[in-house]
Amino acid sequence: MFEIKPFDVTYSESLEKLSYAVKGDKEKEKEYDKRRNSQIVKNILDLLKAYGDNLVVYTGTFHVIDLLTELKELMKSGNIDGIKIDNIVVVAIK
Amino acid sequence: MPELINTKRSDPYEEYFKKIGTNEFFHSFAKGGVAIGLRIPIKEVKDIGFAIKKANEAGFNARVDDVYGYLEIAKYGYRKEDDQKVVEELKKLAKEISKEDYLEHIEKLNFQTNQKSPNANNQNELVGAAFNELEALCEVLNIPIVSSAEKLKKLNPDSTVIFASEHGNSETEPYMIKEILNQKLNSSINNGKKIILGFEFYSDKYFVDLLNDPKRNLNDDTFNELLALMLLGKLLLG
Repeated sequence: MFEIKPFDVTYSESLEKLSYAVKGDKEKEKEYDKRRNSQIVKNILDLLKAYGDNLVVYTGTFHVIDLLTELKELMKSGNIDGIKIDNIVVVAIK
Repeated sequence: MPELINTKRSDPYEEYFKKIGTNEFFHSFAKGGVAIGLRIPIKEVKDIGFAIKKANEAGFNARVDDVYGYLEIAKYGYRKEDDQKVVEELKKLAKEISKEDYLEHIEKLNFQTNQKSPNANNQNELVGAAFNELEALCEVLNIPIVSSAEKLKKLNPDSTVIFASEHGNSETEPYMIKEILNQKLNSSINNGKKIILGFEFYSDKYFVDLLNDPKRNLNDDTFNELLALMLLGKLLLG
């Protein structure tokens, strides 16, 4: 039995980027991307906290890099509670 | 938690990066574009705030790794035709933000690509630099990284699996994901737990309900129209 939990921004939130693209506002587009990336990492972290050993996360390579970087920071600060890092496996097609 | 590695001021840069488990420099061509990046030990950066500002102004991402003490300046996914220009920009930027000691070292760095350009038969290759980065992070965190469902099968069946996708590999990924989910399903039969698939897709309630309704999720017009517009669509339908 599966339950799918999408963790990206909402459709209407995603249109915000389009509005900046139409205006040619590169700076705002970059800010939006940064915000979205942070949101995705936060949402995956929430999933990792909630579902330790029955979770499959499907996302882009760069989000995984951001996620692992954040995990490294959390380990450093000692705020890793609830996340079983030693139970994680990364799959990446070489 | 990995042990923090003590580095000496006298370590040569190559030795320093070897100790902290990452590469000082990456530059590669892959299907998603060209990637280039340089990691400068923080002690060799004149002023971190200034360096980040300069990097962003020059169109580079800048990231400080406080744990292992380096500043990474990188650019991902740009066009191959722009490569020489980006190489020059990176060199110029690195010189502007570095202290005297490191300037000499930059001159000696070989900024040529360290990976071959992909060809039509090499569609499964991840952006080379990103893969290197993933490997380095996994090593630091002691997280296994595997490149096939068969290798995954040999590990703990109750693991949390994080699939790092290219988002464009509709030939291999759908089969791998299916195989991974089948493995998890077998495991869930044994442990009685529901499998949660965290999925990079819009999180509106409409889509949450739709994705979890097998009677609707492949027949919904709105969903299919959206998929047709997305690079991810071909993969999902694969």
